[in-house]
Amino acid sequence: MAMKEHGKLTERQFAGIIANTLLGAGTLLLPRDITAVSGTGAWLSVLIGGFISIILLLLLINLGLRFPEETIMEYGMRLTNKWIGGLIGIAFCTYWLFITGIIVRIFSLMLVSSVLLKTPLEVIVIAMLLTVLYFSRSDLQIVGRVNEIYFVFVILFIMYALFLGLREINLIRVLPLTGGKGIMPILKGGLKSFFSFLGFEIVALFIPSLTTQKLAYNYSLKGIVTPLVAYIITMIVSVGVFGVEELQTLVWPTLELIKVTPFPGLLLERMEAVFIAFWVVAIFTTAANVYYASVVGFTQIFKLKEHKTLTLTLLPLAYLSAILPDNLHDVFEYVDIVTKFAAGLIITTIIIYFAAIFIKGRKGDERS
Amino acid sequence: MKKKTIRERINEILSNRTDNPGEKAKKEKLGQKLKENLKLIEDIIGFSDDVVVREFQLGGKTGIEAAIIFVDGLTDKQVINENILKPLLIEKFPGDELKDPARSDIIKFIKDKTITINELKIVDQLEKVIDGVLDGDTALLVDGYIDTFLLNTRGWDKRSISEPQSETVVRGPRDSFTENFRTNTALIRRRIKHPALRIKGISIGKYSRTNIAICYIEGLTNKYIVEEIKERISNIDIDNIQSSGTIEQLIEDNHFTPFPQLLSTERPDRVAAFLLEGRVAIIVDGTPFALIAPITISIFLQSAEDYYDRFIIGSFLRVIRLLAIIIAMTLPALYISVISFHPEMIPTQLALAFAGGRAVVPFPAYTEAFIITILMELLREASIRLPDPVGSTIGIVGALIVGEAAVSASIVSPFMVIVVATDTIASFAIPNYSTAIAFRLVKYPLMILATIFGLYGLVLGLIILSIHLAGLKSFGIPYLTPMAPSRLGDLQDTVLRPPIWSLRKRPEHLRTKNEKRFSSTGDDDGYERTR
Repeated sequence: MAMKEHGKLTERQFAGIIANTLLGAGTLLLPRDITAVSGTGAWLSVLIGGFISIILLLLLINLGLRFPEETIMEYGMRLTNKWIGGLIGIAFCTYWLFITGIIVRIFSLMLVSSVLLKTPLEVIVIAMLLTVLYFSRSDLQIVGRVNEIYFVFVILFIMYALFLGLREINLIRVLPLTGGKGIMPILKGGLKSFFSFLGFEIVALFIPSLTTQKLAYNYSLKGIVTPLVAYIITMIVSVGVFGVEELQTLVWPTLELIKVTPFPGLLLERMEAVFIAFWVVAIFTTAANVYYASVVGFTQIFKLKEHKTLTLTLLPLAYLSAILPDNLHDVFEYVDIVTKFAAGLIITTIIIYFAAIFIKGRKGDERS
Repeated sequence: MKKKTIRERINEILSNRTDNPGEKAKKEKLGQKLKENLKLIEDIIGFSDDVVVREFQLGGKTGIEAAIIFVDGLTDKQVINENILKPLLIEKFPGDELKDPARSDIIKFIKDKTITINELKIVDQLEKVIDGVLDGDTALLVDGYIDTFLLNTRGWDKRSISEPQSETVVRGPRDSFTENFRTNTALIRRRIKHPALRIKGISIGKYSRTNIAICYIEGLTNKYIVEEIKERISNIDIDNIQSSGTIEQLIEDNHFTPFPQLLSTERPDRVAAFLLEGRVAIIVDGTPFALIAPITISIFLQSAEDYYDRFIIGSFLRVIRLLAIIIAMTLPALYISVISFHPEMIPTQLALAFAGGRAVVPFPAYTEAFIITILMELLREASIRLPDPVGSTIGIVGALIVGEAAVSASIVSPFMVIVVATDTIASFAIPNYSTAIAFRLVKYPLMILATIFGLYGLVLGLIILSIHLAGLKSFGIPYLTPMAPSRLGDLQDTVLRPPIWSLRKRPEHLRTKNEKRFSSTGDDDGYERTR
């Protein structure tokens, strides 16, 4: 299959895919959601969530490197059997397809409530999904390149926005750093923050395509630590600017953050439209990568020749999942469910596959 | 050849076997009799008026019949008179050779002792004789011999080397390519006096038989790129090539894109610089533009002059050009989206001024924008087609009078005129013509997207553009190198122009055989490396 030739993806592109996939809708919701649970200790929650994700990511890569020629869909079906492996694969792909819709929906809701007041939500969703469609028709090399460009771009933008916010921080609001409510809320917040890290599991599809597989650990760490740092800064800045109580009243805390931040000396008076414009890129890369993973995953499960055949077929499903929730509240409930489902799915998968390797003993190693 | 009867003629047409001179030239063979050969050639060339056949006898008492054939206008007649006819007529040929015409002594005698032409070939195939004559050579046929001389007497009216028209520089050489193939290759050879410079010729076009040269540096340029280009060019099977633009379209990687994947330049100094970076140049006879391949998008920020001025100035100019590209591409779309969707972004005072200017305009911002940009396109097209003095008048009439009148007639607001004028100026600041057009074209979809979605649409458009660009390739080299896939070593010479001393290596992505620019060892003798 043309999809997983060696050397289609450089390590830097690999890191870019991870970082871009993670940085997205999470930045919109993170501050309110987590502080609701763990108060000022929210940054610790993010750290914990990130830490768990890093461990899972490294385990996935470890698993992937045992089968340098195959993606998780293929070795999954070989390790267990057609049904279990196939079912796990389908679960992954369906969930990716679903979060594509959810991410686009969250962002569209923000657009409708802030800058595109009169535009119908559906139109915004469709426009984004069509762009995603165009992207998903490309080859993996192009996916890698696009991610590589946006990697630098998104990081610079987020850093710029947040460091400007640093000036507005009031330290009283940030303290106590541990949240002061004990360890449980922080752990709970950690699980909640997991949503912001979702998407790293798509790397399991790309490991066989890497130029130098030895560097997978190194660069995947680079890829995941970048959003982690960005999230922690977001957390501290938004708590420092608004305080925990006020954050609960804000629908889009990060957007409000940019609204209250003065940008001295610029030509434009209000910057949020510009920032939203940059945010489009961040959201796009997340949705597009996840959708691409879903398409490629399905292609491999059903052993199709080309992933292009599926791109258009699956798009209505992504659209459906985007318009399925009735309102913002619904969306958040879906997010909660998806987060738990994904965490469960990833952990179960890793356990099953490692167990399968263990049971089969050396057999698996010999074959690979 | 005997005249055909009507019946034969009809049969021939019915059997679809009409005279095909090209095919015939391949099939027929030269004989020993001069008269028959001449008849054959005249028959194939078709007794065209510009083909001159001069029959004569070789000098001395031999009385051997001979003839020269050349095309009037492609040849230098003085050379023919002085260096071919004169010696042949005056020279005393050894008489007794007549008895044994099978020996090619006369041919040898003519070659060694008579003709004072520097480049001559002896051929015995009819096709080569015809091709040579049509290319400006003079054919010399001698009765009793199959061997025919092809004497290089090429010389036709040509434009002299003039200043470049589309790539003028303030500081730097002022010569540019002409329509003449040899002049162009000579201009390159003059700038790279190293034996490693290779200029390989090939003839393309079934009817036009256009000469094409592929230039590269042996032992430096990546041979895979050279082979790929040779392969693609030799695979061209077309009847007519009149411009390097046709070649470009036939060998480019991706056809459905406004972005050029080969650079065309009329400056020999630029070609020389590109060759020594490890790229390949393609020269096409009849076109004053050389094609450069492979290229990446960052080349379109560059002008030849960048390297001639000091690096700070060069860098500054490149940043300005990048700005020009961004403005030319997005400014009208940005204006539409800010006015129609995000008026809160503008500082209050300015917003009031905008509103005041737009108060009398009956159209929404996007209609206004489309009206005036289309007007601008018309003006541009009109001023290119008109002769120079009238062209500038049109520019003045269009820009000043129509713009002014449109504003006072309340069709457009004064800000819109400023926006479009800035946009147009910016598009002229892009150094390469084909790129400027590409970005000018991209502007319209972006404007439409901005009309529908505001900044959101504009960004979606730019995302689509970036995906498109990431998918382009120029002879296997990704278009966005060195940004994506990133090559940190090459990144310094993109938006900024680093100091010459820091450009120690040739571009990495071209995978040259000899990477160092400074004190490069190894291949300096110009001979092929063992590989």
